[in-house]
Amino acid sequence: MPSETLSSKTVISVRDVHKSYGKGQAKTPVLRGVSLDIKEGEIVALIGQSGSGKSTLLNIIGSLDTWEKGSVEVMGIDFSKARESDLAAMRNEQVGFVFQSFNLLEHLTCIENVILPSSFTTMREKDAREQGMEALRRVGLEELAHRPPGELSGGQKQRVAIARALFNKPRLLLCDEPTGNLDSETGENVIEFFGELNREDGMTLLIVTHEERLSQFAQRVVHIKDGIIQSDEPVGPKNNSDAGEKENAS
Amino acid sequence: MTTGKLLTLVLDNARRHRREFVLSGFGIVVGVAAFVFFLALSMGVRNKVLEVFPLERVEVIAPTAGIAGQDLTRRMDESTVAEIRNQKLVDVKSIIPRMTIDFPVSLSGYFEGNRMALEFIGDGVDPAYVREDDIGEMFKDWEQDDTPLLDCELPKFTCDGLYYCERSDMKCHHRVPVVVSRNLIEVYNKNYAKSHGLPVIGEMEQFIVQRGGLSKMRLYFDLGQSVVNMNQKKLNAQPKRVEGVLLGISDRAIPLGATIPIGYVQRWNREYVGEQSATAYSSIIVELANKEDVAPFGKWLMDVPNLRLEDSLGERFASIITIITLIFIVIALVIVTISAINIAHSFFMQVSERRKEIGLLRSIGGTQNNIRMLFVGEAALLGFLAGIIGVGLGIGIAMLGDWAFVNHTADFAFKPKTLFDFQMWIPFSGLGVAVLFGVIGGALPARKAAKMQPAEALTR
Repeated sequence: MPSETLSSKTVISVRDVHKSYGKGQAKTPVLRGVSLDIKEGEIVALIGQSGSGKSTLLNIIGSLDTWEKGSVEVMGIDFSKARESDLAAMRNEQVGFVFQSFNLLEHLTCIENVILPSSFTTMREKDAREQGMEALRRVGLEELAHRPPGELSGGQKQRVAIARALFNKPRLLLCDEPTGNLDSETGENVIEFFGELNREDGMTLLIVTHEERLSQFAQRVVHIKDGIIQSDEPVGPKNNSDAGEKENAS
Repeated sequence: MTTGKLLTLVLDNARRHRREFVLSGFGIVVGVAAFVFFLALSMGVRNKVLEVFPLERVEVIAPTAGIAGQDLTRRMDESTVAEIRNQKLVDVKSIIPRMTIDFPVSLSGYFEGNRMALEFIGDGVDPAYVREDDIGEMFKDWEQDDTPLLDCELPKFTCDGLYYCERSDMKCHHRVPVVVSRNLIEVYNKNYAKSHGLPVIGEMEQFIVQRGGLSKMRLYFDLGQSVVNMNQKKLNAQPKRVEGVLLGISDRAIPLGATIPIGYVQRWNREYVGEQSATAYSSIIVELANKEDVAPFGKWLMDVPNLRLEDSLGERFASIITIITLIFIVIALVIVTISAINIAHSFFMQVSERRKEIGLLRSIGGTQNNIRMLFVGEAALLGFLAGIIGVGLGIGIAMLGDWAFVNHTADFAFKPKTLFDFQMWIPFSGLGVAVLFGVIGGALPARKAAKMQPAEALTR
């Protein structure tokens, strides 16, 4: 299994991160000194209630949001020192995002949605389409490539969104409530597919969820409450990596 | 992000937001159409004015001076011409002296079956200068012609064609060629024709043909005679009659009178007044190599030979046209500016509506600059497309206006064949203005879109 053969390289390192929304008296802390390390090949579930700060933490790790205090390093890039273009390149090449609401552009076909990341590279259209078809094949939606997302079911839409996230073969997949808009059976399928990505490609996954059932699938479950990590422990029968066991953030 | 890929995204979005595009671009279309229309109109009218009153062609006059009725005006003659020719300050292309007739001459003839007579107001000028204005080879000093003069046919004292019998030598002399200015025809049409129930003169050539050709355009110069009976000048010769022929209209004729070849005026002045009068010029037309030289030349004239430049009508008209053009261009630019504000408003709305899309593009690798360029590109495309339609509309309205002007307005002096001059730079500058104001309109929304936090954009 790839996760067993990979070295225990840290791909995400968050140290004492603080973040709050609003200004002055309306200022509300969302993250209050969060620290978290995730090693390559891990599947980590970040579980918490609505407003616990889990999505904010995921966005900060994905360089989609700012923070006030602390340090963040992802894929060897120190965010506080990186240029905006370096972070954009990281999101394009090394990190894939899967959102609860899929975020597909309705005016484009499935394949056009999948190859959208190539808009920010010098990749030729023909190569991008080939690579995009491969990603769609991977999620089993090759035959729907030229259909608009509006004609697809929720599960199919999420698979197209995953194909888009996989387009540039990222090493890290950041998922924000990926099954939140899916029925339980479709959600299961998506989760199984994430497991497959981890096993076959050694992909690191950080999944934000409020569903406890996801914890059965993850190798590590991190509970967050009121902006503070409450627990961080290895769980589940699928836990086949020793990574993360020793370096739990407190 | 390559330009090609940016263009693909921009075109996709333009297709997607067709309705907003059309509504936002409407103002640009109107503004650019007005911009192009007025610019071409002003160029067209300006060209016509400068064709009639070229800036580089100036008229040198001696300022009138007199004490107790005595004329002390500085005399201009061949020495003045030489002085102008020899000055080193500006390049002079040509110098053409004009000479007025210095004694009374009455002009008579038959017009529409009625005998008319009036005091002749006119001058003489180098025939070559008038011939440049498409008046034909007949405008020349026929008395200088080498062809031997035929004897008059007696007993009726007649001659063939455009010749008349001169009683003093009983020879057939060619009628004196005469041209008149458009202004004179205009004054006739506007005042005289109306008040006297006479026909309006439209195209002069047509008018002449309709009345039987040049042979019917017969005029009589009564040298030394006046219709106003106010002559106090002692003349050296007896009155005599000379015949003339009206050849047509020339912009180079004296403004409210008639012009004949200078040779006739010189001979007549010598015969009736004396040598002094036969060598004094009333004005000197100087054609400069560059129109920028007008001011230094005017200054030199005042400083050195103590002469003046006649106020240039061309310059005055050109200034008025420039001011009017500027006013219209400002109006056009105000329309385009309002349109840019409209574009900004529409794009701000789009930025709000497309938050998730912006967030998504950032999440898959788009930089702030990519997002900025995307919106600026859309605004530029909007400006470009609206600009093309605006330029087309402007040209279309101009063509319609031209057609109406040519076919549905009465003929008048200096009526041009077209009112517009669409030089290549005009549509291009129209397009440039459209793109520029599109980009200006899109700039702030694009900045807002670029500065948006991706996480915030995605979650709302």
